[in-house]
Amino acid sequence: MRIRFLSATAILCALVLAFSAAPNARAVGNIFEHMAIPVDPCNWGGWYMGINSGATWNHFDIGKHTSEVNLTDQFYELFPVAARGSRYLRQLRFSRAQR
Amino acid sequence: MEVDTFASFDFPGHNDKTNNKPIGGGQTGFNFQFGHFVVGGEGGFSGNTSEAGGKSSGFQTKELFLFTQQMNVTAETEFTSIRKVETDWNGFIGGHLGFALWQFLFYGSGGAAFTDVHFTAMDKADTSFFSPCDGGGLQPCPGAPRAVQPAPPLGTVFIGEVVSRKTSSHKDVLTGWYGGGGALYALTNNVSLGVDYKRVDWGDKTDHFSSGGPVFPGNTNVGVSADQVTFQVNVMLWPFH
Repeated sequence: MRIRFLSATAILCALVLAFSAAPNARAVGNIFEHMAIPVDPCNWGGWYMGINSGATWNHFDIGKHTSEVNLTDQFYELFPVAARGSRYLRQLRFSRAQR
Repeated sequence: MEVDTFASFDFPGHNDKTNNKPIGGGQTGFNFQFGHFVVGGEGGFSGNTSEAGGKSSGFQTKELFLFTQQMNVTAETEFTSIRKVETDWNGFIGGHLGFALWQFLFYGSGGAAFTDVHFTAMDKADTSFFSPCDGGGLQPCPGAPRAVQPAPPLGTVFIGEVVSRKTSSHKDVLTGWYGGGGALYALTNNVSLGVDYKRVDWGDKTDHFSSGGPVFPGNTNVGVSADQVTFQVNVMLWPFH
């Protein structure tokens, strides 16, 4: 007798809960329906203007190169008058070497 | 008649990837919408300052014969070469194709890109000249009395040192391409926020540096590319919804 009473009470509670939860379930279903079906997109057509800010990672690729120096010209920069005559160069060269 | 003698120095190239630098600017464009699909054109301009460069050096010893002076000279040259590249601004003109979903617009973009490039070459040749010394002729060997100088020459004597510099710089505009994508979110009917990524390759250019000597900077090829990430705010100007 006691067991029957408890069983009947449990079934009754289950039925009450099931019926009371049904509207909520439908609401949850509506949310999923809304998410699954895309609504109309915004209107992006037209002329726009804006500002931007951010970061840039620049890559610089500098190639190989060959530089030259004219040693003869450099030498005559050292003795600018030497090109005119060797006597000048000898005098300058001696004085610099003995300094 | 003097025959010129040159010392040549080969310097390797190098790749420089700069740290992230700030970038900022503006953009404008026009969109046409066909249902969920959006197609349009856009142009923009950004300011950013980034630079890279490298310093190389080399050493060379060379014998030269001076016909005018009828003498041999040994030249020891230490050559330093610096190459520096800077950019201050860049711009783009291109198109985009997007898909609008709810308040979002996802798009891919591509087109032509431009950037300024300021290229500087600084070369320095520091040469010390030595001549052979002899026992009592033209050039005495230092550190010993002339009377006990042996002949023929035993060594060299320092004549002098010359430092020659050449700095050249060029400004130019490089043209290349960009490709990328991003997403925009419509905050209101007329204001949107977004994030945009661009891979930009502005190509490369060989700079020819003119010089009257004695230092002749070598022609150098420079390539510039970038990865850019920006956050955007756009306002619809027409038609105002």
